Amino acid sequence: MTSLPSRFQNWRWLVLAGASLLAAATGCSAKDDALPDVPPADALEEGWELIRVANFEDAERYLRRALEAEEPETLAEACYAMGHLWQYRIMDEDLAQARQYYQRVVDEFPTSRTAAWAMLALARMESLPKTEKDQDIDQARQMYQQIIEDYPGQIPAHEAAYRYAHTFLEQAQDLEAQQEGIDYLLDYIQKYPETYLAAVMFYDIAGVYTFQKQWTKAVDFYIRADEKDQQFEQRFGDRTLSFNRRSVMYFQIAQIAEHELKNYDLAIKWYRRIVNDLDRDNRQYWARKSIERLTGAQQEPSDADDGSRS
Amino acid sequence: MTQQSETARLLAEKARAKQKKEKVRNIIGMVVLGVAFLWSAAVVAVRSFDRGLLSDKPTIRFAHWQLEGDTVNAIEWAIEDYKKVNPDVRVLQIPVPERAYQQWIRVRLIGRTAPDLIEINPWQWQNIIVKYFTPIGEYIDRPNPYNSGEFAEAKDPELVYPDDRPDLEGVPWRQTYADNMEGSWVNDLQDYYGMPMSIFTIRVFANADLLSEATGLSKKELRALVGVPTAGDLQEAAEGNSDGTGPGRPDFTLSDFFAMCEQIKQLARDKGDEGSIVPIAGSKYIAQIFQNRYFQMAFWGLRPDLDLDYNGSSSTAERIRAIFTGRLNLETNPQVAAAHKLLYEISRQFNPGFAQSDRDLSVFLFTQGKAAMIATGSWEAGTLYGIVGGEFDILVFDFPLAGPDSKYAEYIQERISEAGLQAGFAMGLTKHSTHKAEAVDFMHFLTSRRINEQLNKRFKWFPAIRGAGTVPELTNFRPKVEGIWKVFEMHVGSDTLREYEQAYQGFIGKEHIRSLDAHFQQFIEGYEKKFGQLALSDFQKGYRARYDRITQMERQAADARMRVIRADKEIDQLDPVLRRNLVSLVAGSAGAKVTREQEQALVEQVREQTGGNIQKQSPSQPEDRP
Repeated sequence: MTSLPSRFQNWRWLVLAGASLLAAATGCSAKDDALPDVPPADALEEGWELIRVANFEDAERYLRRALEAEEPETLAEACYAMGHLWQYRIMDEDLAQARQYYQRVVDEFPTSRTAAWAMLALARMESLPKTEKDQDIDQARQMYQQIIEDYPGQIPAHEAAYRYAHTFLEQAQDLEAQQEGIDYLLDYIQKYPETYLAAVMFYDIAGVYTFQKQWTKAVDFYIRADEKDQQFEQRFGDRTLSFNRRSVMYFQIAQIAEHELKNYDLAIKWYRRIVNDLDRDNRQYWARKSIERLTGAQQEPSDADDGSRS
Repeated sequence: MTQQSETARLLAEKARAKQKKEKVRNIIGMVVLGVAFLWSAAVVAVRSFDRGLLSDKPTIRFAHWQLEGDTVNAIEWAIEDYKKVNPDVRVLQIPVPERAYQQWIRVRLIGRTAPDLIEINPWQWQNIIVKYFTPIGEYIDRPNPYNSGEFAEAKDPELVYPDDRPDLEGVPWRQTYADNMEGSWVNDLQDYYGMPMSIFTIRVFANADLLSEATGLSKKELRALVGVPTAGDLQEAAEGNSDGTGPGRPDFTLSDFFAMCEQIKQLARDKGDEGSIVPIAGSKYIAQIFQNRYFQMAFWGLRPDLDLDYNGSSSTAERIRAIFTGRLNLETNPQVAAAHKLLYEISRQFNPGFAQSDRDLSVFLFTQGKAAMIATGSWEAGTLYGIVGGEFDILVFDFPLAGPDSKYAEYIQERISEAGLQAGFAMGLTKHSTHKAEAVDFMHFLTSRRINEQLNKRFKWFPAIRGAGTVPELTNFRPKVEGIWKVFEMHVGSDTLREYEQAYQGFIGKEHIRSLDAHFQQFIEGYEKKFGQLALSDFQKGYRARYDRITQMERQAADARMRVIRADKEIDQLDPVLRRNLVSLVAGSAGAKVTREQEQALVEQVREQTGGNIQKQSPSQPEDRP
């Protein structure tokens, strides 16, 4: 019986081994670039699913197949999905490619249901790019306004309006700009009182007034935010303001009412809301203590409470 | 020639013999190999058959790292019970040591051979969760079938029940949890991912035998002193007249606690070896537990000077503004001083060199009877009770507050609220599980009130389900909703944190000092100087990091939008979860940007007012809002 090395001296074995190695190497290194053999609409479906689980490599293959679609809606959405993929591809973003795909939707499929979303994505890339240096607020505002005009009352338009106003609210050192943002939001809510973003719009206005120490207005808008949120709950069975946001908001109303407005009835009312509505919030205990304190001393409120300013 | 042919014949014979020998050897080798293979195959087959892997029945694999105490046996008990109601499903438990756990699951997740249910940490493993786990949002608003009348439980006489014990039949699964499954919500991914089983709180564990010997009190008197419920309390609880946590004993104070510590030290001296027993098993980890508790209590009083927008907490900018304008003078502020001095005094009850010790050493000291107390989480209860066995009795009590006679009376008045506590030991459902429905059904079973309380009774942990009973010795683990929350931190970013930690460890670690006042003064002056040098640049770093976080939120908002597009519906027809997520994410990223700019504006104002230097005098005007 010959030993193993002597076997390899035999040329036939060498040829076989070499061929196997070559085959293995080819098989291992070959990138599976072939497009999946599925209809474009199915490929689009799968592409989205793969983006969701952050499998961008396979998602790209499926979306390239989807880009072969002839049906305009599918093709427009495939372009949008490609833009999305390149914008949010973790560690490997290509914003220029993303922009091109979004732009293609806007230019070639302006009436498709994806067009407004593509425009919104483009506007967002201007107002919140990877670095603040590349920001072009004027361009972003124009694009937001375009969406609001072209798709009135639709979901992307509501979001565009909210984002448009925020480009003004963000200017924390410029009272006039902030007022412009507030006025814009108020006009928008008046025009679209049923918008699902109404509660957060009021909430954000209240936040700006809180920062500006305009306490009466701040409390007024927090309360309006809560009212809108309740209306939303009646319509859809759920709130738009998160539990956390609501608990902070109720606490702010009660605290501002107590310490700034000296409106103790209002303060008690909102401390009670914390106790009654916010099960398991850690502010409940403090709210109960505040009610006891204010109820006991309503005639002559004490300044000795921990919430008073030194 | 003849001689040559003879030699050739002999050589040929020798070669043949050698060949024959090799052949026999090869045959033996092959036979051994064959037998070994057959043996291995038989063993694998028998084991697989035993585990049900060869049967047609679906097998749920359940992996976790909770090897403490009796956890593995308890889960095995639940699996056996599950078999009785679901004989067609098999469940295989895979306990994995914590140190190897992450690597173990990563390999299996990547290879798509992961178990169906894997214990996860929903707050820290988002990168893994997004790729390999299924959101459970679609399951949690449906009732847990194992809470229905058919499975409804009778009260276990060995357990203590809370007053609030609602009927869970027909209640959505999420609402059967004491924390409404809030701990399972992954904010960045905007969905629920974990199915938790227990709630964990932090308490002081004490060696009752040692304390009794040192204080001269009977164990009964000790229980009464520290507020462990008595038989009478438990009876009342069983009758629904109290929650079984006992009278709370507000008169067990920090002074009593320190007196107890002195008595332990005296006991050690009496035994002739001062180092043989220490009051508290210490380590860096244990010191942090005390620090987290008592700092938050002491700092509560700082809120009026910090909280400009009345939201109940202090932002980085608010802390910078308070310290730079002199509104909060770190050197003279009584709350800051009280917090640090108290921690220095507590640290003196630890074993020497505690700052260099790890958590295992503290557990060792306590379980070996060399430390009278240890502060740790209820997750350690199974281990502690398990190791200690019958060696000594364990008492569990909450961190004492300052009594009216204490120098800390003004500062340590309220405990930390545990109202928002989130449940742990959460199981995630893997994306590639081929038995998702069965896996969720098994989790329904484990988190039904009857099974959850029995499981936790065996774990010696606190159950995650509303109204579940608990073993009497663990009643003091019940989350206390009454209390305050965190309002202040001594740092404003990574650089100030590093400097603070270094200075703080030096402060509490120094054994021999001339005066605590002087020692504190030296520490705080040094830190305040560093704070003045680093805080503003630290803020700027955080400011940039916050921008990155906003762009990350945009990624999630885009994901929600993507699903809205796919749904191709108006907002009022959208799935409620999707609608909520879209609003929450869009509002979250936009609101975060406004807040960020407001914080920057506030810090700019502070910089202008103070020239970037800490002012020692508090501003004359009572209000200094932006």
